[in-house]
Amino acid sequence: MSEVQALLERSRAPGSFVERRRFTLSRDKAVEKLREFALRDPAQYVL
Amino acid sequence: MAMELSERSADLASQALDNLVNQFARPLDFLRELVQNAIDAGTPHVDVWFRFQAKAARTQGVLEIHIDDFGDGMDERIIDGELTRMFASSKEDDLTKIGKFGIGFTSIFAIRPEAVLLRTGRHGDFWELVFHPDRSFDKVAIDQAVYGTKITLFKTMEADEVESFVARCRWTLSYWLEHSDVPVRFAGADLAWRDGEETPAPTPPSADPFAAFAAPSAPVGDHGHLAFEQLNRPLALDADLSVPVNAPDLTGFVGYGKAPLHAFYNGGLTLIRSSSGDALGAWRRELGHLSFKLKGRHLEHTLTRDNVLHDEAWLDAMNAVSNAAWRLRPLLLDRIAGATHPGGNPDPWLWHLAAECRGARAHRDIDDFAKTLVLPLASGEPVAFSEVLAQDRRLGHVLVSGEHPALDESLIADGLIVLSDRPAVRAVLRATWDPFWLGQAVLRSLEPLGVRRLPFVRRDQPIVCTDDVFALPELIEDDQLPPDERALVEATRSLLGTTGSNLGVRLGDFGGLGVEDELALEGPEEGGVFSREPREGWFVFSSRSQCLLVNRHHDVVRAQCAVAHTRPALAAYGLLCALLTSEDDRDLLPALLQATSETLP
Repeated sequence: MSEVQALLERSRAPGSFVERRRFTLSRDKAVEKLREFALRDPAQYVL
Repeated sequence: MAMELSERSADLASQALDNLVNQFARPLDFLRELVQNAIDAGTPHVDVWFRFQAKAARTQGVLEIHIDDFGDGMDERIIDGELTRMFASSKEDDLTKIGKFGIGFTSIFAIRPEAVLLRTGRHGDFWELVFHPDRSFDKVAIDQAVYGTKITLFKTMEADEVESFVARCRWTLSYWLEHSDVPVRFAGADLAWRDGEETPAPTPPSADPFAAFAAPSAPVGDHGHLAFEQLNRPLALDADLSVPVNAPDLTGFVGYGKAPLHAFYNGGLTLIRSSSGDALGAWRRELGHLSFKLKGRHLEHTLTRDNVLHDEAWLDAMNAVSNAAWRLRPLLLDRIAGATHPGGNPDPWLWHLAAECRGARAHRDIDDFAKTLVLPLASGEPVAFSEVLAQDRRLGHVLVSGEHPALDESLIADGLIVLSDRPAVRAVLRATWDPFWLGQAVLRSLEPLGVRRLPFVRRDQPIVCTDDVFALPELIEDDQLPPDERALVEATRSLLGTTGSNLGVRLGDFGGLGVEDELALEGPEEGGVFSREPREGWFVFSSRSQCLLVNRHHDVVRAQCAVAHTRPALAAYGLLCALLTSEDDRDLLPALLQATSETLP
């Protein structure tokens, strides 16, 4: 068993396992921030 | 249907995560993102440290990269709603926070770690998250209290790669956090660590977490066998001359450095640090030659971090730099004046002025500083630039020193301005001329014809070495001349006298002056500085009344000397024929020939 595998086993040991999850996406916020920050000059953003 | 929507949403999130991870062109920039998050969590300091465990009997092992903070930590709501939800950061309206995008944490995948362990806690809830290479993660509630947030990345690598990897991590942190408001502490890799050993806690819970503020210079501490150094340092500009920036919500410095530098910071985090001028927009031409560092809480970077956002805050910052540049210029002129004296070296300051003229187009204000600016004479003494310009208008060029100090001293003694000939002086002279003045004038006249551009026309400052227009030959007194040369000189004077010319004739030594090929020079009869003129038609006997200094070693002179002791008049005529090159002077030849023939037997 590798050190990393051992870590993964160890990490689950002390507490209660909740769930295996994945990253989620806030679509509205993504569009809003891309509009505001994607370009050097926000005025260049055209939808 | 709901299941289908959920799957599509998951696919979209997966694609977004892929894109975000791949946008980190430099994988080690994950350190910047994690430290930025730590700072925004209110930590009094951030510790970055490493340890490596080689696998038994193998050179490969696992490097642990630890980023520990002592800030607010996270509860389940923040973990689910912000940390692992892309773009959902709640920090965008909080000026005390640097991060705004809600994507920085995804950078942990940029170095393709085998696993990432995150422990955190808030309000009595403590959590452990383990992130996998497929970017899924396990979330576990734990009993062990965690102070702040502790992140560990596990990366498999060869043992001999560890040192350079850690060095690159240090460089990355130093670059992005060089002026962080929050202490960033760094400890190199512990290569002696073995599994089962006690982890050297960077800062025990009982230690004062604010202690790092008290000693801002490295090294800052030693915990276990890890020696920490502090990477960030106070905001300062490495420049020859600088002034502080005075503007609301902005701190920093503007100055003249060895090379341009344009650096913007928010909370001490480097937004962009460039010398290309890309961060300056339309200010590039005017301010591109300067060095500056600006720190402001309203300054932002773009999503991809390739530039600073050109918004109102940036515009205020550029105006602040422009104002500071105006305060710099008189200080620069003072430095030039202070260094311009015999034995002084104003060159570094003159180079900055040349850049200022080329970049900021300071030459437009030349009337304002022409009396303040001084340039070094050949003697090292200062002379006002306004006097240089006045002589330029009179002579049509600017004189700079040549290879013969005695000549320069004679010219200065005669009241001429002879500048020290050095690249920095020439650079200032050239830069103080507007290279576009004539082009613009021509363009204005051509505008009615529809011409908008002209790729030519530039007035270059005529800069002339004293050697090119003057010489200081050695005059030989008549009683010092050998008989043949003396006979030639006396016969030439006599022959000239028959034409009514009062031009004097003397022999001189032109050796070592760069004028050895010249047959004659014109100058004062008593000796001194002789002018060098175009070789053909350069003097007119009838209109001048000075002295003609003839090169005693010239082939023509030597040939005439050979016959001067037997036929001096004929030798004199031969010499004058060689000297009379203008059309006006050649009209004298018949009379000279007549006078010569009358002396022949």
